[in-house]
Amino acid sequence: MNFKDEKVIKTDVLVIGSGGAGLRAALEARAYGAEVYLIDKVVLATNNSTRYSGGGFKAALPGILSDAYTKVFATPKQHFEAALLHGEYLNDQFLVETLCYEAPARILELQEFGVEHVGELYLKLPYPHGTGLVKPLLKAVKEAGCKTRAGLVVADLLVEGGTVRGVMAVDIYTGSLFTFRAGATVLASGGAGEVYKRNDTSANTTGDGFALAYRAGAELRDMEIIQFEPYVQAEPGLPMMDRHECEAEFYGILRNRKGEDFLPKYLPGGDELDAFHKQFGTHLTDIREMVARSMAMEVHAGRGDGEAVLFDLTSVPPGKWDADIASVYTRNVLLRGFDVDKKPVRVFPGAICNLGGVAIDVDCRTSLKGLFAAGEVTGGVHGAARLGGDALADIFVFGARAGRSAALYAGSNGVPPGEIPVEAEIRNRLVEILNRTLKSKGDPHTIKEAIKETMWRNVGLLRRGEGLDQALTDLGELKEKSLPHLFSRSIRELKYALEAESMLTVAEMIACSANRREESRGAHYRLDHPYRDDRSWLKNIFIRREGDRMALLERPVALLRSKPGPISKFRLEVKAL
Amino acid sequence: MKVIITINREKCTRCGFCVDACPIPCLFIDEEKNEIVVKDEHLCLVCRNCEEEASRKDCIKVDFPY
Ligand SMILES: Cc1cc2nc3c(=O)[nH]c(=O)nc-3n(C[C@H](O)[C@H](O)[C@H](O)COP(=O)(O)OP(=O)(O)OC[C@H]3O[C@@H](n4cnc5c(N)ncnc54)[C@H](O)[C@@H]3O)c2cc1C
Ligand code: SF4
Ligand code: SF4
Repeated sequence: MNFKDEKVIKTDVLVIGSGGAGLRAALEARAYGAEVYLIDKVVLATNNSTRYSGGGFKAALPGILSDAYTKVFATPKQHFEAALLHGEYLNDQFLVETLCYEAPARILELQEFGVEHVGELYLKLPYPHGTGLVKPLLKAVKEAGCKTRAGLVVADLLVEGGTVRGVMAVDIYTGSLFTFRAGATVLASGGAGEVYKRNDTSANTTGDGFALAYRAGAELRDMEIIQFEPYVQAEPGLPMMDRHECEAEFYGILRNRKGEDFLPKYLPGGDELDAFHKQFGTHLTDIREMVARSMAMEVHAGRGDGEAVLFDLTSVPPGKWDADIASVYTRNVLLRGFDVDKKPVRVFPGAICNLGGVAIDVDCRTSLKGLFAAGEVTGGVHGAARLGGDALADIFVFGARAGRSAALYAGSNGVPPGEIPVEAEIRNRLVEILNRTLKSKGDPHTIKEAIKETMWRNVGLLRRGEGLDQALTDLGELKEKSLPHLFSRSIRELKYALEAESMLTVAEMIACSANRREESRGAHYRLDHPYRDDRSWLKNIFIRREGDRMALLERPVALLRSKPGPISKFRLEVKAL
Repeated sequence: MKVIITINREKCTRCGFCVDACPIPCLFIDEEKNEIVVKDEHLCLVCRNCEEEASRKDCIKVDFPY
């Protein structure tokens, strides 16, 4: 089997991904006069985290953003301090500063692109709330004169002498192979929730961008940091989905199998909790890491209901289920007839967001010339834990910056004139996958399932050395024994094959970094190293490909704007009681 | 309460848009039969992305009283 035909496209700026980061990057690059091409592996602005998000923002916009979702800070400075405290100082402080000072402008400006109800999408729009973000932005992108194309799965970046000069992509709708020769390439391909069996993201979030950047030789950072959403349904027969922006659920109580309300056991009370609430508000979206870990601890201690805990919604006051659009959706669709007035529903965390990723500077430059990145595919903004609403602020602040940098870079460096030597190699690799003998272990779906299983068992919420070693062994085996047989029976199926390959690389990066970080911080928790260790671990773990080897580099965090004070009890440790 | 997803076989061109729009995914392409198959309807989020992004009018329908 071979591609139907080949097409070559030249453009100043190529944007990969039609989530919020990609759409915003395209708009900005266009505003700077660049010719822009925006592509996505599936239907545009459809199956991505921006669309499935709650649409809740964090920014210093009091009076404009609703306090219902997350604490709204009065000043960017307060936002900055809170993000560092919460990220436990793993953040790149310049990125955080940029985020906090620019977020208000970038969020307000969304209205000019046709976004309505900014900051309250989860209150005003039916599920999926993020439709209200991506659809108007896609329209604006098209109106601005950007070219767009759906169904192009980027297979590899074109690298020549350490510079990225475009991509090769498979058109799953027509069977063509596309070569984009681009002056600058913006990676905005989102996260990798799908590497975990339990997740709260779309099956489309296979982390391709992390793997593309890694293979091209770019540096990634903080890959061990994965955010888990606590309240993801774990009831057999019901969808695996969270309900955190739903008003009714504020009245729910997490219980273990014995019926005990266990959360207070893990979260300190008294003055410490008061001080915390003063700074962060009382929103669960801002203490997700701690809640998720408490749930995992209960199950670990054998007090769970199987591999879940119980969410008791029996005392939700009458009327609250009709209080907002998310509550109505939760009750009618997610719970669909499950009688929560009478019995508790099983819940357990699932992966929602990658906080590490491609290393960028404030202008979204990566370590490779010609490659820019923004959004969930990047690392450094959120550190070891993320405040609710910061991801959406991130994608618009850095999406715009990536678009601008890419346009300026393409303007001064021009579009590659002719063929790039690696093109032939990439084409051969793809044709080989299309023509392999079918052996069951090379089935992309089987490989994906195996990755998801070992990642969930061994690199999930509670990590320990042996488990991480086991994951690395399992992944190594898949790489050695299954990957060489990876097949695709059609050009369409090549999407899944390439995704399986990406997921394997991403999983290995996560497991390797998690194994290296012998402490607990933010969303990364090691049962065998339960304390945060500022003396040894105020460091970021960077990853880079060196030949066939995954090289890990530790670099001290540059504490240029703010230094950590004494670690509060709140952040110290969640004890296995 | 059950979600029922129906594909109108006479209209379906197997473009795959609905499959790609589905986050779960409840929709698959059966490579051998070259046909769209519905799986795990009980996990459907009733987000209606599949209906919205479908290439033809009424080729796919998600039935759920909500
Ligand atoms: C259920 C849920 C709720 C959330 N709620 C909130 C919230 O309320 N507030 C908040 O701040 N954050 C929230 N988040 C996090 C936030 O939504 C994401 O981090 C953010 O939207 C990511 O945006 P992005 O543009 O970087 O990536 P995405 O929106 O995921 O877009 C990435 C795009 O890249 C495309 N792509 C990927 N690989 C390739 C490839 N190889 N070739 C071509 N295209 C490719 C994908 O198809 C996709 O369309 C939530 C996340 C989830 C899952
Ligand atoms: S409604 Fe949403 S979840 Fe259900 S099948 Fe359609 S796209 Fe998938
Ligand atoms: S979108 Fe419609 S035509 Fe296309 S595969 Fe789905 S059901 Fe068939």
